[in-house]
Amino acid sequence: MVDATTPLQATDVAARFLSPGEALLLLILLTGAVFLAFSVVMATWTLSFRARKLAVGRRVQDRTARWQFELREVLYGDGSLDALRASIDDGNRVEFLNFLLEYARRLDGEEHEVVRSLAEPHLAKILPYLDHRVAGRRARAVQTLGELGLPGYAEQVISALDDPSPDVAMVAASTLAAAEDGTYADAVLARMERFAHWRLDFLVAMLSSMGAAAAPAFRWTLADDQAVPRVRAVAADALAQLDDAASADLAHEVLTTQAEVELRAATLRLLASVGRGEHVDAIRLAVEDHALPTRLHAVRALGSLGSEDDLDTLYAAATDDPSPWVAIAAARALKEAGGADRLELLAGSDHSRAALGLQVISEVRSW
Amino acid sequence: MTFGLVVLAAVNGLVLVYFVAINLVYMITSAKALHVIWRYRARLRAFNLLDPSRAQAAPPITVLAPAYNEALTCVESVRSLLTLDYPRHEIIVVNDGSQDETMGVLQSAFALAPRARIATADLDTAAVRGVYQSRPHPNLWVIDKENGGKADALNAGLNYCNTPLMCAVDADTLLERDALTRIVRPFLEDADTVAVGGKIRVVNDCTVQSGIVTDARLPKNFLAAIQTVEYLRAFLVGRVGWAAFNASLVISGAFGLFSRGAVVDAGGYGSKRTTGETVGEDMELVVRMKRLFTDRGRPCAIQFVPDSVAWTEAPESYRVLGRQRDRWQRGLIESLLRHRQMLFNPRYGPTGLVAFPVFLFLEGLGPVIELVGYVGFSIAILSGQASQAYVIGFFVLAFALGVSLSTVAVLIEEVAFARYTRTSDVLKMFSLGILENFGYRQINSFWRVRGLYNSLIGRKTWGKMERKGFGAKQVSSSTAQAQLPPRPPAA
Repeated sequence: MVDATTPLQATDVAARFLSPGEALLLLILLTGAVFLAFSVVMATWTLSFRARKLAVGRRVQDRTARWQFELREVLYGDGSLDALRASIDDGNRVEFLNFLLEYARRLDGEEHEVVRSLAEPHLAKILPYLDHRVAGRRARAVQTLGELGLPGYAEQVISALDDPSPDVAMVAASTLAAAEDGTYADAVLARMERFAHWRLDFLVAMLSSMGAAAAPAFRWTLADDQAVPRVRAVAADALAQLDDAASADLAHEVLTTQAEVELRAATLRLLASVGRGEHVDAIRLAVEDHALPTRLHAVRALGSLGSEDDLDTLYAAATDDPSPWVAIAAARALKEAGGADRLELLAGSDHSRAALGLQVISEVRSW
Repeated sequence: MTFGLVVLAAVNGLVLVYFVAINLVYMITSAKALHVIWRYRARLRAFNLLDPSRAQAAPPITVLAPAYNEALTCVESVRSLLTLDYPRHEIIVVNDGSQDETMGVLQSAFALAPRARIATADLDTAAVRGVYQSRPHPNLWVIDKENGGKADALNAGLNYCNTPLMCAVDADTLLERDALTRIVRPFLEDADTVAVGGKIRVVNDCTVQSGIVTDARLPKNFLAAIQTVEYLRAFLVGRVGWAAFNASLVISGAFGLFSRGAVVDAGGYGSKRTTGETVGEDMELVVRMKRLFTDRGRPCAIQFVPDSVAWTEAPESYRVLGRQRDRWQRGLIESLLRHRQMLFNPRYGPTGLVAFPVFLFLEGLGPVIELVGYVGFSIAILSGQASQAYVIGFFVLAFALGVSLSTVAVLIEEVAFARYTRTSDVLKMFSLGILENFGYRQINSFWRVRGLYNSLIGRKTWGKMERKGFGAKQVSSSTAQAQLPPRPPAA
């Protein structure tokens, strides 16, 4: 039993051995010792981690080399699929899937199907990782299921679009898009707002990799007044990437009825790709717009779709538009539309933008 | 108590407060960096953002490389830039009025031809003499201009840059082939990103073939080897930690990716023709962007990518290293004093409230306090005002904390990147984390105090850098504005 005098007695004992100054000194030295011990432990751990990693790395390397040989025999020689399947131990299943994942990215067609069939019996092994507390682990599991297990594991991958981690959601969207199957377009488009802060080009490349089968879903999104303008712009650009001629009238309608700059610029890019003569009037109006991105893409579209009547407009934009970006785009559009002679005249003049004429005439584009 | 003793006690108290504060900051950034890199490592395995099928998603990048008297190294550097593995990139080398054969060497090595190219921005720079494009490599351009300094050369390059992103590199920096693919990632993931820093590694004694580091090893030279550990600490602990708190203030001039529009909107690099000359143009630009964009209510995310790597040569002599540290300290002080309204200003969030004071008081003025501390403690012992045991205990603690920080940096490097394949190099790095506390740390403080003094008297010179080249003979480059190795920030 502890009585009321115990703390006092303890203090007395401490005071008998240590003055306050000595206690402070002891504290300083102990703290130093703790940090030195921490350093020693960390250094030892690092070295043992390294040794372990090297040992495991060698084993993995050996196994991978064996699998690689056997897989090549299956794909290009007379190796047996069953023999390769039988060689996978229970403990190596996840590692085998990682190996197949790297391979799957480099193959297509029949060879890709062989890799998927090899993966199929092992995919259930990674399902627990979908609930892992580390987002990176969940993302890796989603990626494996998405790249090797669709459509069988589509439900799990689509669910991952709602994962609390935006990284996991993006991996799910990317793998669904890479499936080049319009089936998943609706699921991905419904969650596009989650990715609104991503760069437009990236989102467009992701969506357009779904292929022409996804075009109806993109058109629906572009037409949807309730959708976020940025998501509609992404849909418009994806349609442009797919050269979707059926969306030309829709793009024209959106251009003439919507005010949001990013969306209008995207519809102009779409029209530049798939527009027709009847859309040119709207594009001509856009050349006069106050917003720089709208003018920029309008002159480009005019270069693609315009007639000889538009050469004056393009020349005026090249020489008079306050933005050098619009001027360069207009000069290039002028060249594309058959106005190279006007550029030569500009180059030979004493106009302040004479160099632009010279630049575009002799231009060798980097990409 | 005499006045002298009061002053002595005050000095020692100040040193103790500084000591506690700086180590607290280091511990917090280390813990954060460890956590961030651990997660980042797992994330990297699942993310392959720019696989070949998505090449069109890669925003075009212009690599800007200012060159002054680089005749001996520029061809190899440019060849290295041409091998970068990135779908759409252009290279603009800006010959800043070199006194040597830089222009002629570039002209003959890359078959340059004069080309018309209109400017897309109008930052004020020294006169441009000509613009050239390489015939065999249409994505290589050279701008020949009058000498105006490094910032002026970068501004001239910016004027001719017509891609949304601009990557500033030193002409003697080697970028890893996938450096752009990795550093561009934050720009894909967050449209508010305006600048991203990459990691700088020390190239001394590494094997370099065709501009690619094929075998990374610790330098044999003691000073260069110590700097390797310093760079690990600065980049893997300091920059990762500060970026995680959204409070980055520095992106190394040797390798950083910027939104071109954001840099132009902020007025370009600080030169005497634009926003004012500084020897720390890299840091000053970042601080200015942070201040201006916050003032304008514009988003401004500044990030750091630890696996995007550029290699640079570290000084191997005390004389050159001293000049470099002196210059970095001047750059730090100039940048912070120029934007002093950010200090303790809640408007600038964690940058104004935490990062700015830490950089100004602990990194900027810290070396003074450290040197004064050495003197103050010595006097206190000699005059019998402090117990020898206390002072020894204090230095043991300082030593232990310093060693812990270096150990954590080496640990992060080994766990996440493991670029050094020899175990002996890893062991040496641990040992250097111990050895640097005896002599190197003190002399470094002295150089930084000298830099602070030079900053206060307005000294602007860049000094002289001696280079060996990447596997070549020792090269001496006398410079008015040499592209010195990058600033690793304070951890």
